Amino acid sequence: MTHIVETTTSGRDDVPAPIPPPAPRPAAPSRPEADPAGAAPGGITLAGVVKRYGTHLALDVPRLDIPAGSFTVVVGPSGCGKSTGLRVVAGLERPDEGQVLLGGVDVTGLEPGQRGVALVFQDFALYPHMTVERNIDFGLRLAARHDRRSGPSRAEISTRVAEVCAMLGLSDLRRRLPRQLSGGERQRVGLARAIVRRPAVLLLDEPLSSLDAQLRQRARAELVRLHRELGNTAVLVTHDQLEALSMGTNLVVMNHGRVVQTGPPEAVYRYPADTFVATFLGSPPMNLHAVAPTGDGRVLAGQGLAARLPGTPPPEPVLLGWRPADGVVCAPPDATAGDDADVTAGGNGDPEAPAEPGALLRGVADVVEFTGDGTVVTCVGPEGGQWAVSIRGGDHVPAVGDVLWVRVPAARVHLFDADGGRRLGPRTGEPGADDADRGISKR
Amino acid sequence: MSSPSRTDARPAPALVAPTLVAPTQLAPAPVPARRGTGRRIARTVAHHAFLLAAVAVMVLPVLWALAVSFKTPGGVFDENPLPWPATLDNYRVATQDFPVWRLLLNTTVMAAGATLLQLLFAVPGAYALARFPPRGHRAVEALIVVTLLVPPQSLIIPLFLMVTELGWRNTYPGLILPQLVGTGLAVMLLRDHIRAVPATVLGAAVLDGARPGEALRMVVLPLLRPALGAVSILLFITSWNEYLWPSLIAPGMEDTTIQPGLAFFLTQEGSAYGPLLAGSMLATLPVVAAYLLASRRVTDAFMHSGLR
Repeated sequence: MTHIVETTTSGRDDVPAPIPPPAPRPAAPSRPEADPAGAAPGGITLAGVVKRYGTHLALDVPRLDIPAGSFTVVVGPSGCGKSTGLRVVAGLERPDEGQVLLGGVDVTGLEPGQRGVALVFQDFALYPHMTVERNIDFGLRLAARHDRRSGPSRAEISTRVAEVCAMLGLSDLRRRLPRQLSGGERQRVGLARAIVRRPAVLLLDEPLSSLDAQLRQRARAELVRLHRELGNTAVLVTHDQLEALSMGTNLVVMNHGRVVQTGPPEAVYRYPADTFVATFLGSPPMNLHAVAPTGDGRVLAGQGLAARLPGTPPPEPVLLGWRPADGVVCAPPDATAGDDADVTAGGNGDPEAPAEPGALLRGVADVVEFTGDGTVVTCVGPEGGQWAVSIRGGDHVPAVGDVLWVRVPAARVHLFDADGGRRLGPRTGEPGADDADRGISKR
Repeated sequence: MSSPSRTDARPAPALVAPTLVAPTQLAPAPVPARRGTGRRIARTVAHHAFLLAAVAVMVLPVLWALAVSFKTPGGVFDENPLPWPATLDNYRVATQDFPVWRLLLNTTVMAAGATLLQLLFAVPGAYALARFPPRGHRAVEALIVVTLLVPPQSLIIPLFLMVTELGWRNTYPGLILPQLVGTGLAVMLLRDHIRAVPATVLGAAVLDGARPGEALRMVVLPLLRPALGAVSILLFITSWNEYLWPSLIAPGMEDTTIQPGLAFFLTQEGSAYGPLLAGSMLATLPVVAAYLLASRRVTDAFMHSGLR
């Protein structure tokens, strides 16, 4: 876990400065021509890669660099091109345009077997007629056949297979056939078969999705540990946003065949490039409200919501977002104004402009979901808009029908373009206020 | 067709159309017990009676032939279904006065040769069509299907002339090679089976560095074994039962195969039905044995391919 822990802690120490505010389209021009990360052995670069199926544009990546040695997670909804991208890197698919560079070398025309890339398939794709051992050493035996001089010797093959089996706890299963194995064991065989060839790049195509929930948690940790031991570049494709945030050191979010945002998971989570990323990552997803400037132009107001933000707010209507976990349930702003029921019924439905920076919302608790660590309350705004707020364990849990006031610190408020949904400004809150109020927590 | 008004809904035809609703589907319905049970029994009985009749239609002629092959010459035409008095004379005549072993050998060589050669061409062809479909592969596949639709008789004369030109009359090549005209069937059957091999497994082989030929030999063929078994049996039986071609191209008593060879028992001086049927039984045995050995695979393979 060192990788993860390292980045998390370093991210935590110097949050204000070094996490670069990601540009909305991180792909293109700011990158220099020869990217040092992409050129190192194990680094992956996609340059102008386009893949079409008929008229459907499956993949369109002007530029993507995956740093050598990283554990990169590619995430997106199904059909977003992430698996196609992986297959293009592996060489199972030829791109219609563009180049694939591995360690700075153009491998676009190379056969999959010659790229130094291994792939773990979603269904593991074990050879059903071969024992575990044969499955694992198949690639090595082929290498020995193809090149008797520099290929691995028989002794070397058996040491390497034994090594990998020991590493993945398969030593007792070597004579079994795939059909005699459980799902978790098959997954480990698939993994063993991939890493026994010591690939510079290990590709994983949703390797956890066919495991049951219990196993998945363990397998996730095992994969992270394995990556640390191997030290190669790992690229994992998933549609599970929890896997995406928790496993990788580098995150690539895709949608409609395009890369939407890249960066360390924490940076992507905290500064989503657009409303797609904002709502795709995180559970429950980020709340979005249509707001417009009012009064002196310092306050953004929407249904059941008002926000005072530092700096100059945008002059036109925008989308205001906040994560359910960033909201804090608070007392009504003006306690003397009367009891809650009165406020609900009252004609003045909207909260008034909060005196201090931040957003203030009012809603009626509609659904209360207990999640173990806390509670998620889905609220309905005055005119039907829905939003959710997470309440941590121990705090007071409202009942259905209660009126809730929630305030969101200015640093945790996100603004997005009303049309394209692109993030406005690198961040909305003033730097520094970030860590002071609640500490950084992903969940 | 569920529970309550069940008995009213379907009145009389229970005995006529027994199959559509399986008896088990009716089982959970609790009442009315006695009538329901009686109906169900009647239905099952009718069902089995129908199947037995169908089996009888197919099997009785074979059994009758088997019986006649043990009868004395005088008893061939009597109506007694049992061969009594029984004799092995027919088999003695068939095997001693007649080159039945020679003919069986010829037939075996021909059928095995035709089967192997067809597989030799069909496997790579099917693999290529399934895994590396060339541009316009649909047209290629349509052409292959067309070769299956051409009646074999229409090819007899050109093939006969070609084989004669080559001087292959009364030879194994003359018997075997023209049968490769039917390879299309094997190609199409095997193509479907190769397509059924998961793409990820083949992708894994490619990533492991397997060249196309190695992927075929080490991954596809082992997974294709059941299908190969089924297709070989099919090809073998078809070739074994070939009558017209061997009778034209290799008509000699020692050179022909068993099917036309049996006709030698029907001479102008009279027809030796007993020995003829004894020879037929001997000709059938290898095929039956081959089928029984692989019947499970044959049915499996056809179930999977959805053909026939």
